[in-house]
Amino acid sequence: MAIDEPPRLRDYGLQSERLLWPTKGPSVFEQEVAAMERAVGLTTLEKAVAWAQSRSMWPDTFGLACCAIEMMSIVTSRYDIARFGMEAFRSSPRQADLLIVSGRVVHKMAAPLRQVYDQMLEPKWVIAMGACASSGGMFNNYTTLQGVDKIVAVDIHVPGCPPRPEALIEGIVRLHEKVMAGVPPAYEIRGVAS
Amino acid sequence: MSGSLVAIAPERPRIYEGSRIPARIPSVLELGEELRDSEDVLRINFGPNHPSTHGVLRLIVDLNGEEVVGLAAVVGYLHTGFEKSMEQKSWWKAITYAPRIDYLSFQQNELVFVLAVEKMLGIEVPRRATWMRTLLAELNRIHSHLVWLGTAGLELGAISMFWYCFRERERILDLFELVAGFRMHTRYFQVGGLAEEIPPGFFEECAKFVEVMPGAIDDYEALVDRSPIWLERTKGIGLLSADDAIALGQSGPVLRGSGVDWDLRRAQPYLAYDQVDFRVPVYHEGDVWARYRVRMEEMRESVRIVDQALRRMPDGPWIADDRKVVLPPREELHTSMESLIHHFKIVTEGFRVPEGEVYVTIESPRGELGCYIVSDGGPRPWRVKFRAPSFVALEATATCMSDALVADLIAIVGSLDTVMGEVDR
Amino acid sequence: MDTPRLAEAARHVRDELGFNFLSDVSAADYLGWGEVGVSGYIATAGGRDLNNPSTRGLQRLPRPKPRRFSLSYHLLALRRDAARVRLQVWVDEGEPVPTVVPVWPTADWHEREAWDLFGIRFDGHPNLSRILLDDDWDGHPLRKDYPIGGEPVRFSGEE
Repeated sequence: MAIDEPPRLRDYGLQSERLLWPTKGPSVFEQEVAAMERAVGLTTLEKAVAWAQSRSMWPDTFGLACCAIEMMSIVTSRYDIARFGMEAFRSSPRQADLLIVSGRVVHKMAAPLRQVYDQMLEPKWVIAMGACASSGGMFNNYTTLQGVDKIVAVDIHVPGCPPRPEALIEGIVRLHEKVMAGVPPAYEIRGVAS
Repeated sequence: MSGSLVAIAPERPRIYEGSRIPARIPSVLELGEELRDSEDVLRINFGPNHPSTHGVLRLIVDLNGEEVVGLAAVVGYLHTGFEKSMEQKSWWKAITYAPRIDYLSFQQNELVFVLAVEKMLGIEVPRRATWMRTLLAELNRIHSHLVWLGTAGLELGAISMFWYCFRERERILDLFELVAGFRMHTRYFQVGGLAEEIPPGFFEECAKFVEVMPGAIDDYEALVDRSPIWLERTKGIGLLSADDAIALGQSGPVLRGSGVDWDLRRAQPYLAYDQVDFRVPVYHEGDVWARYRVRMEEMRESVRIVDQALRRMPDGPWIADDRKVVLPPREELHTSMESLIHHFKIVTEGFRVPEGEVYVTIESPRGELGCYIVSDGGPRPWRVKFRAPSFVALEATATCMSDALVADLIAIVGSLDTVMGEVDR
Repeated sequence: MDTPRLAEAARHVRDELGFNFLSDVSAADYLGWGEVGVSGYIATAGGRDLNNPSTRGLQRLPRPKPRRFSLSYHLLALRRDAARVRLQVWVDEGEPVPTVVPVWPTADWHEREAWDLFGIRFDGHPNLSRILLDDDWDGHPLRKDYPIGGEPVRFSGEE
């Protein structure tokens, strides 16, 4: 590896790089991560902590609508997220690390959502699952929040209506890689969208 | 039986005397006189976010020790404005909104909307499409009951039930993916029939599923049917008499668990239900256990209906022939000018539905799902209203909750099988 | 039907005719009805006749409605050969409607929803408050003069 070539995620031993195409250049995601890493600079202890955080990130039971059903199905035996250490869905936000906002958020629900998010202890991550949580989805109207990133800082957006369980797991895996690479959670990097 | 009320046969024992509907507000259980100023009463908020995975239902519960003495349900945390959104879209695009209302039995929502539009248009749907719709509607019923059973078991503590049920659910979703390309919210029903021809290989896979499913239902029953914990937690809990159920507008398994033999598939048949043979389970205990048994047996009957539909699936076109409403087949577009113009008009502006209003109901897994459409003759709906059975089922929480403990509260709300997307629309 | 007779009619329908099941209470707002005519191929509500399109090239306006809001009560009798009945009441803006909660208790939430989304008041309703929207929401969204709301979609490629 040349000195000026930015380190790739697979140099850390992470497997999700597209191994079928080894000569593919770094994706935008990776370039961002690489730039941030050069800025942040991880020590061994931080790497160990990041490893622990990503291997047992417990989600909060925040299923709102249709995406919640697909979120429930990742716990089941076919898509098993217990292999990622995440099958323990905590009902209390105080015990959860990850908030998977699955479903459409309406203005009436925005306040409880923000309350639950505030009650979570740091570090905390947010996955906006589905089109409705990411951007309001097909509901561009008086009552639906056009994207949950208007009230909380989102790490990963997973598209789909609803996303397949595999798509959600892909989002979760990428979140793990972000954590392993040392990317700070979203509330430290950016605030809420405008 | 014609002409007489099938509601209550006088020789059956009454579940309780009189009516337990709260006197002042039918849907709110209010504190009794003696407890109103008591300091022992604790007001708890079962907030919109709670582990009982029914979605965002908020219950404000007054507790006197472990007993529930007051209950009010607050809904609206998922009110997405479906009805107003559908008014802005053409008739075709509005079909896409429909399945997301009741997201557990998604194709039943599409079905009721499409049936209503077809009724206003006066279109005749070909037999193959009707039978396929029946088959898919029953698969949806099994899907919805599986998710209900899995989550109800999870809430009451029978946690393994969740994995067992979702195992079969994955098989059903595989079938949906095979036929329509997407697991949930398939949007496979079109005005006039089905959106596309049924892909090859579906019937074989469906036949395999039909063979496996009754054994799986036996598995579920083996898990909980004779478990003393399950029986303690569901028998005698959440009593709802037949009179109260009818007065509160209940339908579906809640009504049939209270002893009223009423099923829209039998009483006002739609699709191909008058040509298939199935039983309608009715239990007379009116408690959570009765509703559980009704749903289990409905699953078995649905498998039988799917089996019959598979055997009797007719050949033929999958969508009606009326070119003013249905897209012409693609081969014709190259040769026929009229087809091209029809295609263009239907895709850009949308077809027109004549002026009028219609109210169509079907038997969804939760009860009577209705769709009221008003059309002004234009390319967009003027008003669409979905009558959601879960909306009405939540009105019954206060009545079922007399003499309930906190643990029973979970069981009762679970047994009403509410889907909040439907309640809030 | 006009509103003062609704309570009595409801009782009659339930007790004498046997319609003990209220399926739905739907409100509809007809503001702006009939202003946009439709022309071209449309059929009558009775059915379609491919050889006899109804407007023959002229603009056709839908039949005018008596008042602004219609309130439809969909009823069902739980009998083997029962038909469905729709009672329709027409009201104007601000005009109250007597509640049918004493007749069919299930109307409780349906009427609250009609109040919440349309602003139709019900006299005698025990708990007329907003049900689907926030308690302090302004306006009644499903009326035709309430905008759909939402945000304009911004595309990433444009300036």
